[in-house]
Amino acid sequence: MTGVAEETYGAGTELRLLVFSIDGSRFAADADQVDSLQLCDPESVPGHAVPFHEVVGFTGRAVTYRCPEICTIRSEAGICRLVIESPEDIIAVPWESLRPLPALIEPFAVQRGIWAGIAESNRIILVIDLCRLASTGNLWKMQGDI
Amino acid sequence: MASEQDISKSDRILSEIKLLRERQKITDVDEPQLQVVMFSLAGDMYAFPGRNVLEILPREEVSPIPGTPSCIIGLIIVRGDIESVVDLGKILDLPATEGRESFVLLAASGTVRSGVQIDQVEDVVEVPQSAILAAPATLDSGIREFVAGQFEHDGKSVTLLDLEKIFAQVAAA
Repeated sequence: MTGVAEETYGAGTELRLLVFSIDGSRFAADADQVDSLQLCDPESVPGHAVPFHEVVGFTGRAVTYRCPEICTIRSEAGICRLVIESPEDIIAVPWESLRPLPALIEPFAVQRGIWAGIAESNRIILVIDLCRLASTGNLWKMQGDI
Repeated sequence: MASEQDISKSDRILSEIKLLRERQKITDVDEPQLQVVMFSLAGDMYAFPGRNVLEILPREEVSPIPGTPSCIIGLIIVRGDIESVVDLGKILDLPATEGRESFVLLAASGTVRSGVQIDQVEDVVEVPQSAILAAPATLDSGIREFVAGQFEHDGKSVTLLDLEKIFAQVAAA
Protein backbone atom coordinates (compact mmCIF):
# COMPACT_ATOMS: atom_id res chain seq x y z
CA MET A 1 0.00 0.00 0.00
CA THR A 2 1.37 3.38 -0.89
CA GLY A 3 0.49 6.66 0.70
CA VAL A 4 1.81 10.02 1.69
CA ALA A 5 3.64 9.86 4.99
CA GLU A 6 2.29 12.31 7.48
CA GLU A 7 4.72 15.02 8.54
CA THR A 8 5.82 14.44 12.09
CA TYR A 9 6.97 17.02 14.59
CA GLY A 10 9.40 16.15 17.28
CA ALA A 11 12.44 17.44 19.08
CA GLY A 12 14.76 19.23 16.71
CA THR A 13 12.14 19.97 14.06
CA GLU A 14 12.32 23.64 13.24
CA LEU A 15 9.70 26.04 11.98
CA ARG A 16 10.77 28.96 9.81
CA LEU A 17 8.81 31.95 11.01
CA LEU A 18 8.35 35.39 9.55
CA VAL A 19 8.35 37.92 12.40
CA PHE A 20 6.51 41.21 12.13
CA SER A 21 5.09 43.76 14.56
CA ILE A 22 1.72 45.43 14.51
CA ASP A 23 0.90 48.17 16.99
CA GLY A 24 3.49 46.96 19.49
CA SER A 25 2.51 43.29 19.33
CA ARG A 26 4.86 40.80 17.66
CA PHE A 27 3.59 38.04 15.45
CA ALA A 28 5.28 35.12 13.75
CA ALA A 29 3.81 33.38 10.74
CA ASP A 30 4.90 30.11 9.21
CA ALA A 31 7.05 31.17 6.26
CA ASP A 32 5.89 28.08 4.33
CA GLN A 33 2.38 29.58 4.22
CA VAL A 34 3.57 32.79 2.58
CA ASP A 35 3.55 32.73 -1.20
CA SER A 36 4.99 36.21 -1.70
CA LEU A 37 5.66 39.55 -0.05
CA GLN A 38 5.43 42.81 -1.90
CA LEU A 39 6.16 46.31 -0.63
CA CYS A 40 3.37 48.79 -1.11
CA ASP A 41 2.86 52.50 -0.70
CA PRO A 42 1.37 53.30 2.74
CA GLU A 43 -0.78 55.97 1.03
CA SER A 44 -2.26 53.67 -1.58
CA VAL A 45 -2.79 50.17 -0.23
CA PRO A 46 -4.73 48.12 -2.80
CA GLY A 47 -8.35 47.61 -1.89
CA HIS A 48 -8.22 43.84 -2.33
CA ALA A 49 -5.63 43.52 0.45
CA VAL A 50 -7.05 43.29 3.97
CA PRO A 51 -5.18 45.01 6.82
CA PHE A 52 -3.93 42.32 9.21
CA HIS A 53 -5.03 44.19 12.35
CA GLU A 54 -8.65 44.25 11.19
CA VAL A 55 -8.92 40.49 10.94
CA VAL A 56 -6.77 39.53 13.89
CA GLY A 57 -8.97 41.47 16.27
CA PHE A 58 -7.32 44.76 17.20
CA THR A 59 -10.30 46.85 18.09
CA GLY A 60 -10.94 50.35 19.28
CA ARG A 61 -7.75 51.95 18.05
CA ALA A 62 -6.29 53.12 14.77
CA VAL A 63 -3.30 51.15 13.54
CA THR A 64 -0.86 52.64 11.06
CA TYR A 65 1.62 50.70 8.95
CA ARG A 66 4.93 52.51 8.52
CA CYS A 67 6.27 50.15 5.90
CA PRO A 68 3.38 47.97 4.70
CA GLU A 69 3.84 44.86 2.62
CA ILE A 70 1.24 42.73 0.92
CA CYS A 71 1.52 39.17 2.12
CA THR A 72 -0.04 36.70 -0.31
CA ILE A 73 -1.18 33.33 0.94
CA ARG A 74 -2.33 30.55 -1.35
CA SER A 75 -4.14 27.39 -0.49
CA GLU A 76 -6.67 25.04 -2.05
CA ALA A 77 -9.31 27.45 -0.70
CA GLY A 78 -7.99 30.30 -2.83
CA ILE A 79 -5.82 33.36 -2.45
CA CYS A 80 -5.71 35.81 0.42
CA ARG A 81 -3.83 39.08 0.51
CA LEU A 82 -3.09 40.67 3.86
CA VAL A 83 -1.40 43.97 4.62
CA ILE A 84 1.27 43.48 7.27
CA GLU A 85 4.12 45.58 8.59
CA SER A 86 7.35 44.78 6.81
CA PRO A 87 8.83 41.65 8.46
CA GLU A 88 11.74 42.39 10.75
CA ASP A 89 13.20 38.90 10.81
CA ILE A 90 12.93 35.31 9.68
CA ILE A 91 13.70 32.96 12.53
CA ALA A 92 14.10 29.21 12.76
CA VAL A 93 12.43 28.03 15.93
CA PRO A 94 12.73 24.50 17.32
CA TRP A 95 9.30 22.94 17.66
CA GLU A 96 9.75 22.32 21.38
CA SER A 97 10.37 25.98 22.17
CA LEU A 98 6.84 26.91 21.12
CA ARG A 99 4.60 27.39 24.14
CA PRO A 100 0.90 26.47 24.14
CA LEU A 101 -1.40 29.33 24.96
CA PRO A 102 -2.97 29.45 28.43
CA ALA A 103 -6.36 27.76 28.74
CA LEU A 104 -8.27 31.02 29.20
CA ILE A 105 -6.76 32.56 26.08
CA GLU A 106 -6.71 29.64 23.67
CA PRO A 107 -10.42 29.53 22.70
CA PHE A 108 -10.38 33.21 21.71
CA ALA A 109 -6.94 33.23 20.13
CA VAL A 110 -7.46 30.15 17.97
CA GLN A 111 -10.43 31.86 16.31
CA ARG A 112 -7.93 34.50 15.14
CA GLY A 113 -5.39 31.95 14.00
CA ILE A 114 -3.10 32.49 17.00
CA TRP A 115 -2.11 29.03 18.19
CA ALA A 116 1.12 29.30 20.22
CA GLY A 117 3.58 31.71 21.74
CA ILE A 118 7.32 32.12 21.89
CA ALA A 119 8.74 33.48 25.15
CA GLU A 120 11.62 35.68 24.12
CA SER A 121 13.41 37.42 27.03
CA ASN A 122 10.70 39.78 28.29
CA ARG A 123 8.43 39.69 25.24
CA ILE A 124 6.06 37.21 23.71
CA ILE A 125 5.79 36.49 20.01
CA LEU A 126 2.34 35.26 18.99
CA VAL A 127 2.53 32.45 16.44
CA ILE A 128 -0.21 32.78 13.86
CA ASP A 129 -1.62 30.40 11.28
CA LEU A 130 -2.34 32.71 8.36
CA CYS A 131 -4.42 30.10 6.53
CA ARG A 132 -6.69 29.64 9.53
CA LEU A 133 -6.93 33.42 9.90
CA ALA A 134 -7.99 33.68 6.27
CA SER A 135 -10.56 30.92 6.72
CA THR A 136 -12.10 32.23 9.95
CA GLY A 137 -12.14 35.73 8.48
CA ASN A 138 -13.73 34.42 5.28
CA LEU A 139 -10.95 36.08 3.28
CA TRP A 140 -10.23 33.49 0.58
CA LYS A 141 -10.77 34.76 -2.96
CA MET A 142 -10.56 32.99 -6.26
CA GLN A 143 -7.77 34.09 -8.60
CA GLY A 144 -10.22 35.77 -10.97
CA ASP A 145 -11.86 37.78 -8.18
CA ILE A 146 -8.70 39.75 -7.41
CA MET B 1 -19.68 37.37 105.38
CA ALA B 2 -19.41 34.56 102.90
CA SER B 3 -20.38 31.16 104.09
CA GLU B 4 -18.45 28.00 103.31
CA GLN B 5 -21.32 26.94 101.08
CA ASP B 6 -21.04 30.19 99.05
CA ILE B 7 -17.28 29.73 98.56
CA SER B 8 -17.92 26.25 97.44
CA LYS B 9 -20.52 27.56 95.01
CA SER B 10 -18.16 30.21 93.62
CA ASP B 11 -15.42 27.63 93.27
CA ARG B 12 -17.79 25.42 91.36
CA ILE B 13 -18.87 28.27 89.12
CA LEU B 14 -15.27 29.30 88.52
CA SER B 15 -14.36 25.75 87.82
CA GLU B 16 -17.23 25.46 85.33
CA ILE B 17 -16.20 28.70 83.66
CA LYS B 18 -12.61 27.52 83.33
CA LEU B 19 -13.75 24.19 81.99
CA LEU B 20 -16.00 25.91 79.48
CA ARG B 21 -13.17 28.16 78.35
CA GLU B 22 -10.86 25.21 77.96
CA ARG B 23 -13.49 23.45 75.87
CA GLN B 24 -13.84 26.58 73.74
CA LYS B 25 -10.08 26.63 73.26
CA ILE B 26 -10.13 23.02 72.20
CA THR B 27 -13.03 23.75 69.87
CA ASP B 28 -11.16 26.74 68.45
CA VAL B 29 -8.06 24.66 67.82
CA ASP B 30 -10.04 21.87 66.19
CA GLU B 31 -12.24 24.14 64.12
CA PRO B 32 -11.37 23.95 60.46
CA GLN B 33 -9.43 26.94 59.25
CA LEU B 34 -9.18 28.31 55.75
CA GLN B 35 -5.96 29.90 54.67
CA VAL B 36 -6.68 32.95 52.56
CA VAL B 37 -4.59 35.42 50.59
CA MET B 38 -6.03 38.88 51.24
CA PHE B 39 -5.57 41.68 48.78
CA SER B 40 -6.87 45.15 48.01
CA LEU B 41 -8.57 46.14 44.81
CA ALA B 42 -10.23 49.48 44.06
CA GLY B 43 -10.16 50.41 47.75
CA ASP B 44 -11.82 47.26 49.08
CA MET B 45 -10.47 44.06 50.59
CA TYR B 46 -10.85 40.68 48.88
CA ALA B 47 -9.39 37.23 49.37
CA PHE B 48 -8.83 33.97 47.52
CA PRO B 49 -8.45 30.66 49.30
CA GLY B 50 -4.73 30.03 49.74
CA ARG B 51 -5.01 26.72 47.89
CA ASN B 52 -5.85 28.69 44.72
CA VAL B 53 -2.83 31.01 44.87
CA LEU B 54 0.41 29.60 43.49
CA GLU B 55 2.58 32.68 43.44
CA ILE B 56 2.58 36.45 43.94
CA LEU B 57 4.31 38.26 41.10
CA PRO B 58 5.15 41.92 40.59
CA ARG B 59 3.32 43.21 37.55
CA GLU B 60 5.72 43.17 34.66
CA GLU B 61 5.27 43.83 30.98
CA VAL B 62 2.06 42.28 29.73
CA SER B 63 1.84 41.43 26.03
CA PRO B 64 -1.66 42.22 24.79
CA ILE B 65 -3.39 39.60 22.68
CA PRO B 66 -5.89 40.71 20.06
CA GLY B 67 -9.34 39.25 19.74
CA THR B 68 -9.79 38.56 23.45
CA PRO B 69 -12.41 40.06 25.81
CA SER B 70 -11.49 43.27 27.61
CA CYS B 71 -11.23 41.39 30.94
CA ILE B 72 -8.13 39.62 29.58
CA ILE B 73 -5.15 41.94 29.85
CA GLY B 74 -2.70 39.74 27.99
CA LEU B 75 0.20 37.37 28.49
CA ILE B 76 3.23 37.30 30.76
CA ILE B 77 6.29 35.08 30.91
CA VAL B 78 6.80 33.13 34.13
CA ARG B 79 10.04 31.15 34.13
CA GLY B 80 9.84 30.51 30.41
CA ASP B 81 6.17 29.61 30.34
CA ILE B 82 3.38 31.81 29.09
CA GLU B 83 0.55 32.71 31.46
CA SER B 84 -2.56 34.80 30.93
CA VAL B 85 -3.44 37.81 33.08
CA VAL B 86 -7.04 38.77 33.76
CA ASP B 87 -8.36 42.08 35.03
CA LEU B 88 -10.27 41.21 38.20
CA GLY B 89 -11.56 44.77 38.52
CA LYS B 90 -13.29 44.50 35.15
CA ILE B 91 -14.75 41.08 35.95
CA LEU B 92 -16.16 42.40 39.24
CA ASP B 93 -17.28 45.62 37.55
CA LEU B 94 -15.19 47.78 39.90
CA PRO B 95 -13.98 51.30 39.17
CA ALA B 96 -10.70 51.39 37.22
CA THR B 97 -7.56 51.76 39.33
CA GLU B 98 -5.08 52.73 36.64
CA GLY B 99 -1.83 54.30 37.73
CA ARG B 100 -1.62 52.37 40.99
CA GLU B 101 1.11 49.86 41.66
CA SER B 102 -0.27 46.45 40.91
CA PHE B 103 0.60 42.82 41.39
CA VAL B 104 -0.36 39.57 39.74
CA LEU B 105 -1.55 36.57 41.71
CA LEU B 106 -0.78 33.44 39.75
CA ALA B 107 -3.83 31.38 40.63
CA ALA B 108 -5.27 28.01 39.69
CA SER B 109 -8.66 26.37 39.86
CA GLY B 110 -9.03 22.85 38.51
CA THR B 111 -7.06 22.66 35.29
CA VAL B 112 -7.21 26.40 34.61
CA ARG B 113 -4.33 28.64 35.66
CA SER B 114 -4.01 32.36 35.16
CA GLY B 115 -2.56 35.53 36.57
CA VAL B 116 -5.08 37.79 38.28
CA GLN B 117 -4.22 41.47 38.47
CA ILE B 118 -4.80 43.07 41.87
CA ASP B 119 -3.66 46.31 43.55
CA GLN B 120 -1.75 45.03 46.57
CA VAL B 121 -1.33 41.83 48.58
CA GLU B 122 -2.31 42.66 52.17
CA ASP B 123 -1.86 39.48 54.20
CA VAL B 124 -2.00 35.70 54.27
CA VAL B 125 -4.10 34.54 57.24
CA GLU B 126 -5.94 31.55 58.65
CA VAL B 127 -9.67 32.21 59.07
CA PRO B 128 -11.97 29.89 61.06
CA GLN B 129 -14.61 28.44 58.77
CA SER B 130 -17.29 29.62 61.20
CA ALA B 131 -16.14 33.23 60.73
CA ILE B 132 -16.87 33.08 57.01
CA LEU B 133 -20.43 34.23 56.54
CA ALA B 134 -22.70 34.22 53.54
CA ALA B 135 -22.51 37.28 51.35
CA PRO B 136 -25.05 39.93 52.41
CA ALA B 137 -28.03 40.50 50.15
CA THR B 138 -27.00 44.15 49.86
CA LEU B 139 -23.80 43.23 48.02
CA ASP B 140 -23.49 44.73 44.57
CA SER B 141 -25.00 42.47 41.93
CA GLY B 142 -21.85 42.68 39.77
CA ILE B 143 -19.84 40.97 42.48
CA ARG B 144 -22.38 38.72 44.20
CA GLU B 145 -22.17 35.82 41.77
CA PHE B 146 -18.40 35.51 42.39
CA VAL B 147 -18.55 35.68 46.19
CA ALA B 148 -17.94 32.60 48.35
CA GLY B 149 -18.42 34.48 51.64
CA GLN B 150 -17.39 37.40 53.80
CA PHE B 151 -15.36 37.72 57.00
CA GLU B 152 -13.94 40.39 59.26
CA HIS B 153 -10.22 40.97 59.61
CA ASP B 154 -8.81 43.77 61.78
CA GLY B 155 -12.17 45.48 61.71
CA LYS B 156 -12.41 45.41 57.92
CA SER B 157 -14.84 43.43 55.86
CA VAL B 158 -13.11 41.02 53.45
CA THR B 159 -14.93 39.45 50.52
CA LEU B 160 -13.87 35.87 49.77
CA LEU B 161 -14.00 35.20 46.04
CA ASP B 162 -14.71 32.00 44.13
CA LEU B 163 -11.91 31.66 41.57
CA GLU B 164 -13.65 28.89 39.63
CA LYS B 165 -16.62 31.20 38.94
CA ILE B 166 -14.29 34.03 37.96
CA PHE B 167 -12.45 31.86 35.43
CA ALA B 168 -15.78 30.53 34.12
CA GLN B 169 -16.91 34.12 33.55
CA VAL B 170 -13.75 34.90 31.57
CA ALA B 171 -14.16 31.77 29.45
CA ALA B 172 -17.78 32.68 28.69
CA ALA B 173 -17.03 36.35 27.88
